Amino acid sequence: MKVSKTSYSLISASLLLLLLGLLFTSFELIAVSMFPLLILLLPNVPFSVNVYHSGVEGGKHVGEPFEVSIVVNIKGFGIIKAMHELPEHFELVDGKNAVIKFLIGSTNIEIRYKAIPTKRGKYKLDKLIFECENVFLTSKTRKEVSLDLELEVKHRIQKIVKIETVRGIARTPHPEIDISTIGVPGTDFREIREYVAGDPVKLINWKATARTSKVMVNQYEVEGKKAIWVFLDANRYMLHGSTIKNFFEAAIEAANSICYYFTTRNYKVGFYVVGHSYLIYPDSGRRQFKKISSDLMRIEVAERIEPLNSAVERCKKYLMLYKPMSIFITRVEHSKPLIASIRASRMAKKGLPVTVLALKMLNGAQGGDEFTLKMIDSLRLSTISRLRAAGIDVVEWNIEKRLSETLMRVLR
Amino acid sequence: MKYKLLGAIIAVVLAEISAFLTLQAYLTSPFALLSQYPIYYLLFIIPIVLVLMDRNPYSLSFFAILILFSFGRILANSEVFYSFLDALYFFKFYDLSDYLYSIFSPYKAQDISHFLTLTWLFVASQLVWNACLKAELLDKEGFEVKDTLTFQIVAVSLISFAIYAVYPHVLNVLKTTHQIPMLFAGLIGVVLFLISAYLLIKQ
Repeated sequence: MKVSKTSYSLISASLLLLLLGLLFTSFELIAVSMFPLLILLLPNVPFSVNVYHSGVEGGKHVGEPFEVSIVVNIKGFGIIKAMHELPEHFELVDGKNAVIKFLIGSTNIEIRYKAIPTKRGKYKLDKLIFECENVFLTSKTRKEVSLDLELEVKHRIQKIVKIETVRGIARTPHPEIDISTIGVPGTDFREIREYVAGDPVKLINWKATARTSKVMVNQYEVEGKKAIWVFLDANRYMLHGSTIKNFFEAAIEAANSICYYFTTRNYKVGFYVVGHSYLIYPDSGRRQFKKISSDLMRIEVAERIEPLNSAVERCKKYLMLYKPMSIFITRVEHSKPLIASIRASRMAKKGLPVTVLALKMLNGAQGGDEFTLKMIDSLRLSTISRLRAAGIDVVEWNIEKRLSETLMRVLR
Repeated sequence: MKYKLLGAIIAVVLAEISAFLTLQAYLTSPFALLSQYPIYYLLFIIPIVLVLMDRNPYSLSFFAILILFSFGRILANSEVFYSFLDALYFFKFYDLSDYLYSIFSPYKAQDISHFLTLTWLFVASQLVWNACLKAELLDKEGFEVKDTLTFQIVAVSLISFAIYAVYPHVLNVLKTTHQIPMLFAGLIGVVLFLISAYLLIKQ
C-alpha cells in the first residue's frame, strides 16, 4: 500500500498532536489529533461506468493515423481519470487518450484522439482504465472496462508501376520455367503500349488510340509457371536501429511488397524466414499473399542465429523442384550470403537468378562510434563486391529512403 | 506554475489566519508574561519566507510552532507540568516553582476550539496545496484541470468545514454519554500511533 502525499501530511499532523498530547497528558491535543485521521477515513464513493460508444477508424497501415472515439457515462463522486491504454508502438498525434473530470453524480466523458501506429501487428485496444480519487486525494479506486476494439496494422504495399516494357536482354533473366514472354495473355491488365506488328487486333485500345493519334494496345499479364523464393532474414542482428525504423521492419516491408508484386502476377511465391526456420510452401494468387502477409504481421526477430546456408539447404528440394528466382533480404555485412547465393543459383543446370536486397542505414541509429560505423560500411561494401564478382545481382537499399525506387531495380 | 502559485497564495492566507489566531492565544496565555520580546512577529514572517523558498508555506514544522505558541493555555491541565513543578521544588527552586504555579494555574479550562481551528486550517491548507501541486503536474502533461481544481477546492473547503463544525459536538457526545475510560482512550491512542508510524515508514 502506497501512502499518498496528502495522507502523509495528515498522518504526520495527527502523529504530532498525538505525541504532544501523550507527552503532556493533554486531553485537548489527543482529542484534536483524531481530526486529520477523520479526513483520511472518509471512504471513496463507488463509481459505475457505462460505455455508450467506442470506435476506431483508419490506421490500417504503418504510419497511417487512426482516430479513436469513446463515450462513457460515469456515476459517482470524486476526481475521475479515464485512460485508454495504447500499445507502446503507437504515437499520439492529436488529442489525448486520457481525460480528467470532477465527477458529481452522473456525467458523460468523451475520449477522442488520433494516433499513428509505428509498427505492424495485431493490436488490442480494449483496455479502458478508470481511476477515481476522492476529493482529498487520499485514496483512489481503479476499474478496468473492456472494449471491443482491435487494430490490424500492416506495412503499406509499395506498388510498382512500370511505365512501359523495355524490350531487350534482361540483366536478371527470369527463372528457367518462366514462359511469360510467350504465354497466353490473362485477364489482369498490365499496361497500355504502342502497337507492334503481330499484336492481335482485339487488343487495340480505341480510346487511347483516338487520344494519342497512335495505335495503342492493352497488354495483359500472361499466364505461366513462374516461381520466386524469398528468404527473409530474421536473425538477431536485423533488430538494429530505432523501434520505429530498424532493419527488421524494413525487411518485412520489402518482403511484403515483393510478395504482393509477384503473387498478384500469378508467380508461385515460396517464403522462408531465416532464424525461425519457418517455411511457406510455394503458391500463387491473393490467398498466398494473404497467408504470407498475415504471417509477416506476427513474426519477430529470432532468438538464435540461423546461417543463410542452412536456410538454402532446408529449402533445397523446393528450389530444385520449382527452380525459382531467389531473393535474399538481409544485412550482407552480418549474414555474408555469398555461399548461400551461389548454392541457390546452382539448383539448376543453367543457373538460377539470385538477387540480394542488401539493407543499409547510413545516417540512422546504427550505434557505435564513427570508426565502428566505417568498419561496418567497408565490410558491407566488400561483401557486396564479392557477391557481384560471383555474378549475384545485389540491390542496395538505404532503409531511410523510399522502398518503391529500390523495388523497381529488384523487379526489373 | 499558475496552479502552484494559487496553492501557495491560499496556503499563505490560511497560515496567516492561523498565525493571527495563535497570536491571540499567545497574548492571552501565561507565555506572554514570561517573554519580554515580541517574538510572535516571527509567526507572520515564516510563511512568507517559506513561499520565497518555494516550499509549502503551511508546513508541518510551522504547524508545530503554532501549537507550541498556543501551549500556554493548556499547560495547567497537564500532569507532566505539575511533575515539572514538583521537580523544581525538589531541587530547591521554591520561588520559581511557586511563581510558575501562580501564573499558570488560572488557565485550567478545557477548550479544544483553538487547537481544532488550527488543525482544520492546517488540514485544509495541506489538501489545497497538494491538489494544486497535482493540478500543476497534470497541466504540464496537457490536461485541462481548471474546472476540476475549482470544484476540488470548493469541495475540500466545504467537507472539511462540515467535519470541523460537527467534530466538537461528536466529541462532546462521546465524552458525556459514553464516558470512555482513560485506559481505553490510551489504548486507542497507542494503536493509532502504531498505525500512523507504520504508514509513515511505508511512505
